Amino acid sequence: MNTAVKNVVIAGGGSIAWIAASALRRTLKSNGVEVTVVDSPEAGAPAARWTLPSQRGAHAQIALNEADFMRQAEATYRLGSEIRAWQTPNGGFLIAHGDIGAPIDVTPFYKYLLSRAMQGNAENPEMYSVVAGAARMGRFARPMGAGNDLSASFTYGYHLDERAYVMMLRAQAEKFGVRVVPGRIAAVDRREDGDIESLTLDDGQAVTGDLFLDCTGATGELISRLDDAPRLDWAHWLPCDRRLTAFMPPSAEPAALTRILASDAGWLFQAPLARANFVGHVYSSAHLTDEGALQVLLRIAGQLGTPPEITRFNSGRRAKFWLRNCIALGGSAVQIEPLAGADLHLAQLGLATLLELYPLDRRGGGEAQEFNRVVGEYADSLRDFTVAHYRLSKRPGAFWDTARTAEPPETLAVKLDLYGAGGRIDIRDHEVFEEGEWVWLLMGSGLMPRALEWQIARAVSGLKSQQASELRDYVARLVTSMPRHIDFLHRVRSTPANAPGANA
Amino acid sequence: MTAPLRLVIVGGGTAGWMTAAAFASTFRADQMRIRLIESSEIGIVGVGEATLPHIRFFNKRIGIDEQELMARTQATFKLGIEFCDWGRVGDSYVHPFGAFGTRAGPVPFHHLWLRQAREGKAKPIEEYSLPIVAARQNKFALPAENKDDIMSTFGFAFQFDASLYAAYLRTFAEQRGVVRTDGKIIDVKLRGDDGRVESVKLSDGSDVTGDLFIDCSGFRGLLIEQALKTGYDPWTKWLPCDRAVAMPCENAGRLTPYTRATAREAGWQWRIPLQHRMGNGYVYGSEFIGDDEAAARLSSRLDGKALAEPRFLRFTAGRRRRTWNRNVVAIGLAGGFLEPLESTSIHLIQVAITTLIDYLTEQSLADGGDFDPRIVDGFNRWIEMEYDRVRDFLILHYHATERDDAPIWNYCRNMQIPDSLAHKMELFRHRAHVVTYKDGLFLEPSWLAVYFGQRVMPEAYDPRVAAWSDEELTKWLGTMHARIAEGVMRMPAHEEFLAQYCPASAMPPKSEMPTMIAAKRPS
Ligand SMILES: Cc1cc2nc3c(=O)[nH]c(=O)nc-3n(C[C@H](O)[C@H](O)[C@H](O)COP(=O)(O)OP(=O)(O)OC[C@H]3O[C@@H](n4cnc5c(N)ncnc54)[C@H](O)[C@@H]3O)c2cc1C
Repeated sequence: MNTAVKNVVIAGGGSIAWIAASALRRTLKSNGVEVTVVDSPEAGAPAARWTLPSQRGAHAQIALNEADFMRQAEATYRLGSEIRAWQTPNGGFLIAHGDIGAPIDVTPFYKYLLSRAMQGNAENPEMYSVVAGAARMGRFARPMGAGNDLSASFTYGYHLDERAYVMMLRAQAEKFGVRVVPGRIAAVDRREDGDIESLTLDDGQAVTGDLFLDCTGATGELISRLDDAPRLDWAHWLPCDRRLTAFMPPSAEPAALTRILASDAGWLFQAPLARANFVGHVYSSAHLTDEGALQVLLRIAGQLGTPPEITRFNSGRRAKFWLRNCIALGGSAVQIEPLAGADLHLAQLGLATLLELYPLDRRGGGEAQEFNRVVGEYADSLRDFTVAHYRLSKRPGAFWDTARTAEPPETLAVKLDLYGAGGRIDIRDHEVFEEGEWVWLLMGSGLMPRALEWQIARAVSGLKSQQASELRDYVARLVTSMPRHIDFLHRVRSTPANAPGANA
Repeated sequence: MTAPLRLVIVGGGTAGWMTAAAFASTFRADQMRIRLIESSEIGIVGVGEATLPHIRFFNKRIGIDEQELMARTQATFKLGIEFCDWGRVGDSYVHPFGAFGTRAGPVPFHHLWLRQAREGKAKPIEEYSLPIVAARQNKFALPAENKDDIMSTFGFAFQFDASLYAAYLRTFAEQRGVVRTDGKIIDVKLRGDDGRVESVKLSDGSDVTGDLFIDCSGFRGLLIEQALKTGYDPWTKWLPCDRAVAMPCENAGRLTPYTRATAREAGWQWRIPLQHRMGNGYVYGSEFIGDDEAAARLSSRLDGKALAEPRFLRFTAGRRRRTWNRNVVAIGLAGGFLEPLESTSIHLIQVAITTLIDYLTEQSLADGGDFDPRIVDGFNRWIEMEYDRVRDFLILHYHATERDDAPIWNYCRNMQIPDSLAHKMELFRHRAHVVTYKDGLFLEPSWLAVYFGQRVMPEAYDPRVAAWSDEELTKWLGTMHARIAEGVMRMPAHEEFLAQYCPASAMPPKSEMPTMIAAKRPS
């Protein structure tokens, strides 16, 4: 019997399905791997989204040109998020994709700011950050300059229109020879040994395969038939379970920034697209009715440009993502509110792990176990990062009290403890965010360590306030020399396809 | 201005003096007063003589001049460990301090090699590792800085005389203000309210009080166990050796830039070449061989004339349940023991010291040792992780064997190994995948060396290798092989390099050698 895994069937037609299809096909073409996508709707997919910088890597992997992408996906650049009113009614902080200051020898600069703050001289870290300055001032440029220069101290993600993006990804997948079968899944047919043999579509057609990727979103059309283990439920940490979204006309001068604003039962967001604004309200149905949620959004947004859509979700994950010959990627594996904008990032980490462990035969030899371990750690770290926003909030109200007072997951408790005691941020083996993102969040939330580690305190004490002010000036100069985000967008959008520099 | 923290280090072996040297070079006298108590009557274990490359970070961090260190400790260079007779009698492989080949795109080198090897188009994998090729030819040179240079693809460690090392660090620490007391501790006084150690009593009747105590008292764990009853998790069921006998001998033949570990009928034998002598020992399970027989076997298998009577040591592999308990941190043998097969003990000492220093906050120094429990827990978690990861790697050596000529090997071959290791081995056997981690000691090349060296042969390799054509692979491997061979050809012989870099006789001690430990000169 030939047990080679040659036929991959991907169920679902959202962005992760197409990215996975292209990547698998491109990477394993020489192995004779054929990829079929059963193009069916992805349950719970958003109409637009904000992404992390890893989308750039994903695009490189599937040979997507940035200028084409920006144009076709109606995308704008994204340097980070502004998180407002989580602490004080008018206060806000950034979680940006770049550095704060420059390391003092090997000590990260934020430790200097912590030590200043402990002495009663708190300063805004944004003053020392090119990425923050640009995000605040509506500027954008790609990172440039060499090595350690601050002009290269950041990276960026995107805001994009999901429907347009999916069309583009689909076309790309077809270029790589991915077979597309439209249709809805009517039945999942199992072999005697319990593996999936084929998917029967609503027109009666059966699509057989050796390996099945479940990218069907929240419903998990495939995996849920194999998996009777209870999901790991995150609702007690993350009570939001509704997403109300709509489009609005574009801003005259959009910043490369996602805006997040706390509400009484969740948070509102505004994500700029090239020709629209994507807005919405993520909230807890236990604390707010759908109608109430709409009213809150309207109060801020004025008028919506499209009818609001409401999506339900339940924060949590499967205990196992890879079961038998089926692998859940995306919403079928993990559901979480989009606060950190990391859904695609997490799914792509799953994809990368799959490429490392692509099964050699049907029998397998530990791949599923390893995949579940690694991707499980990634998923939990995203949970922790998201939960930390709530844990550290100071906003009053029933919803906020519930979220804040829930005993945090142990891995998060450990992280907050170490930071709280000595200002240390430990990143473990498989985490979706690095020290840099945690710094923005922890400092922005106003969590103050009890003390600094002595060695660190000594390292930063060498920095003169004169040097710090020079650094601030340099940052300010760099920021003002950057083009306006809107101008940069116009320029990129008018770059002809395949022009030199179009994919810088 | 607060009073300086009173740090009391109990024990003057490798662990004690490394701790003293590191703290003394880090903290100012107005921040910390450091006292070290050791008993010349009890003495030190003094057998830890082979190190790992990480020790160089430690040296750099605390400001040790390595050339001087080497000259003063009769040291030689170490490029790895040669393992003989582990997979089968007659086998030999080297665990190198450096990578095998270079990866091509996302695929690690060994997958490319596997494909070529199966088709008979590759040389043995060790020929794609510069440190192994150099070790096999007894050559040595310092690594290059430039990352594109093939000569940058390895690291090195030292083999040194443990007693001289302790003596060297003692001078270093005393010059930086550490106060040493020679005395035997006969009692430990705990504070009534919180059970912390308040003071230790010496046999002359004096008391030494302190805020933070570092227990470096060796296997006995004077403070951490005898006084605080912290508890110990034994790992004997996986690491069955519980005794050792040591016996130095005269050098004969060439000075190898590597340590050798040879599997034997009831354990294994170490061979560590120093400039003035060879360190040897037999690590064995008392269940499998008697002490006298072990000593007899060892003395019959020395390269040269024995220089001392056999010294016997007993231990239990395992880890203290909490290495930091109340105001006591156990470092060295007091904190745990993993057998010396991969020279990890000194490394674990170093990790404990640097982690402790890193975690200490201004506040804990200022408040006279009022340690934030969150920091204590964080420290313990870190040390646990380091031990556990080393443990799995050591078990692999015992378990992955085809030997059936002795009860110990039959036991180890069939024993139930930790799930975490079984999982790693399954993935390697199935597809040559190495489970890697970000923190912790042994990285991919180490696992590869032992897997391949001990005949854990993968059934397949990463399918992505198919994207390379035969010609491309042949060229990739061929170029690699040639660059390594050329690089090694230009390296001087290990002895030659030692003679010009750090000859033991050429560098007189800068301050007088402590009398407690007489330095043996080469005869
Ligand atoms: C067989 C064997 C081989 C080894 N090989 C290696 C190797 O190749 N590489 C490696 O890294 N490690 C090796 N090790 C481990 C290494 O030897 C130890 O980690 C290292 O020597 C540290 O020992 P220590 O300082 O903790 O204890 P010790 O050397 O035992 O020192 C204990 C100290 O405590 C003092 N003390 C004890 N009781 C009292 C008391 N009541 N009052 C006052 N002082 C007291 C003693 O005087 C002594 O100074 C080996 C170990 C063994 C057993």
